[in-house]
Amino acid sequence: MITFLFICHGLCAIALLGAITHQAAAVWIPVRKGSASFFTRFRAVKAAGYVNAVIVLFLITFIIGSIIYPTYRTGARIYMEDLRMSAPVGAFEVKEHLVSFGLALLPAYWYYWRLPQKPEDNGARKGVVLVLAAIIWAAFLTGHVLNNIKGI
Amino acid sequence: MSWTRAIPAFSCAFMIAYLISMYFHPTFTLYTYGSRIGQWYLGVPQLPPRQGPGMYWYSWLTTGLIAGLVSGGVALALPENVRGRVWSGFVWLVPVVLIVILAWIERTWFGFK
Repeated sequence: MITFLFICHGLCAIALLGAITHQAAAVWIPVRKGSASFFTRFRAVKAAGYVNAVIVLFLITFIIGSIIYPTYRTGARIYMEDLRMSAPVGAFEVKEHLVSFGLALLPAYWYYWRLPQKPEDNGARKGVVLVLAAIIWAAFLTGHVLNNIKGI
Repeated sequence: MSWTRAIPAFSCAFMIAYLISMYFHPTFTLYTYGSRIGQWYLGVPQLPPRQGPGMYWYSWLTTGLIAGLVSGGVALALPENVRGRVWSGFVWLVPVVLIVILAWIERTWFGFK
């Protein structure tokens, strides 16, 4: 069951990563002129359309992560501690705190991105999506590297 | 009057309280999860090896949630002219500052003194 949840956690994280990266790219590097390149098409999306997907995927990934966390704590972490691998253990500590910040940020993310959008909140909107994207990327990469060291 | 006006204050207070709760552990740790046997304990008890290691993350999240709800309530009670003067950019600036503080707190894991 834990293995199944762990795979779901990873799959949801990948989907979340895609959604938030699309949105952040559309907001921070908007398409000025029509072009057929992959990178242009990647950015040429309606950013507001990703909000609900990001919130739902973040919550699902977070909840599954909080369920499988004790298995990591009693298994993979102790394995790494025995090998004195303090950097990976510390990286997971940082990930744990970053995703907590991300969870706290989700309501504000929804608040500033809901429709109709106020022009005076444009800066907050861009800032919050960038911070959330950075958190999600950091959490994903940390989880991926740690899983390569010792899966649960 | 919409309750959604309280959301930015909720988010900022949640993050700040979470970090304070984590940094000053066990002062603000409300409960502990015994990870090996799946039991919850009030406070921060000394767990025997067969029950531990104790996990506090869930408690820090609860502390953050409580602080967020309280701050949201306070934000709702503030008059409109006061709330309107608060810069909306705090919602991204607060996590950025907290992440810098977090990096400093956790630096010892990565060999920095």
